[in-house]
Amino acid sequence: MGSMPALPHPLTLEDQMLARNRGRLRRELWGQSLFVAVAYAALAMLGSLLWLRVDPAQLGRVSTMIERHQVALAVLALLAGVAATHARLVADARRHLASSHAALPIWRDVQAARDRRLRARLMFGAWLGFAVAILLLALHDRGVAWRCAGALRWSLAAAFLAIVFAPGANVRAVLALDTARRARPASLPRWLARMQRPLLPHLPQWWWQRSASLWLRGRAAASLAIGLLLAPTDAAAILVPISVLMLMALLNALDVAHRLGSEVESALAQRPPSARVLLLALRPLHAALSLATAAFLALLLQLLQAPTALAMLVAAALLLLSAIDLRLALLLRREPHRLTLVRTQVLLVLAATAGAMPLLLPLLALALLIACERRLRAESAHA
Amino acid sequence: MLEIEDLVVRRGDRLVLDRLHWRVERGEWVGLIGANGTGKSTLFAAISGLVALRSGRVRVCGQDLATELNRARASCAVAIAPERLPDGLSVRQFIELVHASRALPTAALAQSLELAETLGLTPWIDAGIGACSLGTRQKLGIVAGLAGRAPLWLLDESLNGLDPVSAFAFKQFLAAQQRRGDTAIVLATHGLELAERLLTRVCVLRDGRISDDFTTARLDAVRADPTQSVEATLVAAMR
Repeated sequence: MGSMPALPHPLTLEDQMLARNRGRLRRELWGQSLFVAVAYAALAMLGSLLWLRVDPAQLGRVSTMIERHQVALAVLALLAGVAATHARLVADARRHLASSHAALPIWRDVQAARDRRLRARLMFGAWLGFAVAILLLALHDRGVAWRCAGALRWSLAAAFLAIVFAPGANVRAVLALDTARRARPASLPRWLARMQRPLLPHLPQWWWQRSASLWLRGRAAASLAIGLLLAPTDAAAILVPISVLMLMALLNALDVAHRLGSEVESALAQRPPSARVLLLALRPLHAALSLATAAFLALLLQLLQAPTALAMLVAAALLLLSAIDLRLALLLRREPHRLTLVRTQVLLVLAATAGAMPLLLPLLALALLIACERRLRAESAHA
Repeated sequence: MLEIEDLVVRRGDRLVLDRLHWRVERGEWVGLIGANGTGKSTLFAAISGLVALRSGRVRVCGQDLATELNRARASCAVAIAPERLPDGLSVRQFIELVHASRALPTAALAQSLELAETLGLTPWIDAGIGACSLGTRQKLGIVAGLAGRAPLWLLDESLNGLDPVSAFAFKQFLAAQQRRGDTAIVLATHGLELAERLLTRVCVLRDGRISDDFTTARLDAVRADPTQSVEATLVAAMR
């Protein structure tokens, strides 16, 4: 690669600039930021409450197992560390090759500094995971926590060693692999490939890669609250998580709608197609994912012995929220003031939460959506 | 300036570039034309080291891509494709980022801002890239890609999406640069009207090879003949 005086890696600079911009946006949209912080704090608190319900005797058995298998765990940590580090560095190489800086010369020292930075972040992540695990154990029993910390310190050391010494990305190999792959047809699951539409044939693949994971991640966060329904006789234990579930789902709907709006625009070369084309391309996958998630949640609630009516209500609410996701993505696809709309919607959600009407939130969001649509139609008719 | 010998690039089972030979000299403004999917972008990617070569050799300013990738890349200015620009930055931030990451002198930044002004990008300088139109992003890709003015310029359909005023200004800018004689410009384009007056050479890419090479002398002969049209001649060569 050759060597050159120290320059910043373009992706590092870009990450720093993007982080600054995100920080500024968070300060500007302080209402939304506050809402997100409160929602996630509530989720963390509920998660902790669920954790405290775990039987301490089971934790004792787990700590004994950890102490017995220290060497095996250290070896596992070593292997996982090597795999994670290599995967992270290869993913970063791919990101660079797909970025606007791909054709720039990246000198050896610059790449080495970038790799060191990524490895340091991985080490911090491993340490943070370790610290959180010990902290959670300490919430139950400090003695068990200390014993586990002592037993797991070798695993942490092994993970650190692996992160430091794992091989970096071979950019030429990545390039050769990607060049060979690019000609192949998109490797979609069969059921998803059937949803391809001639109007936007690339969109299901794009969905699969980007939005589906985002969507499911958000839904998974929301479904965590379901865990608290373990005691259906306890009214508070049902109402609180359902409220959080609704909040999280709605927050996710807003977030995904906003991201989808901009990402769809970007993916389709900044010229959004008509609502009909977008709807035809988006609807099948969206419907499939919504139905699958709703069915899964209803089944889970039934397994947790929640009342059937409640399970149906949650499933119906999720379907409604998903429909709102899709509608928002379509409606806001050309709207330059998308952020303002989302912010208004979030503020209304906050107001509704203060009024203790969490189950009415989807309806409220729908009403707002209809109002926005009418306004937009009126504006476009006027234009 | 650019020497390509026996270049072979495969994408999966498809042979995109097949034993391609090509030379571009300093002072030329070459139009690379060909039907959709003939490998123009792949050829640019190969010159920039962004696809794996099956075989062959690419040299930029005497630097072999296989052994001196960074030095070869340092000699290329590649206009950035609009879809590769980061949505979360502003136009100004991205221009500054490109200059900072290459440690370019302050004069280069002034030069980039001057080109931005020429292309009519200045009104959007503080706008977010995500909010920019295709044409504005194309302009930014040109300004950022040409930052530092390396001796070989690679422009992959960079006139697409530009409004007529900006496109005219950019063509004049490229023509002036070509007249200075210290740069080689390669423009992949479907706009054959450029060949009527501005391009000094036109190469046709077909079946993975340079199938026809219209040198300045050949182009001048066609231009001087009132019974022939440059556009019709080039279209015939592409068929």
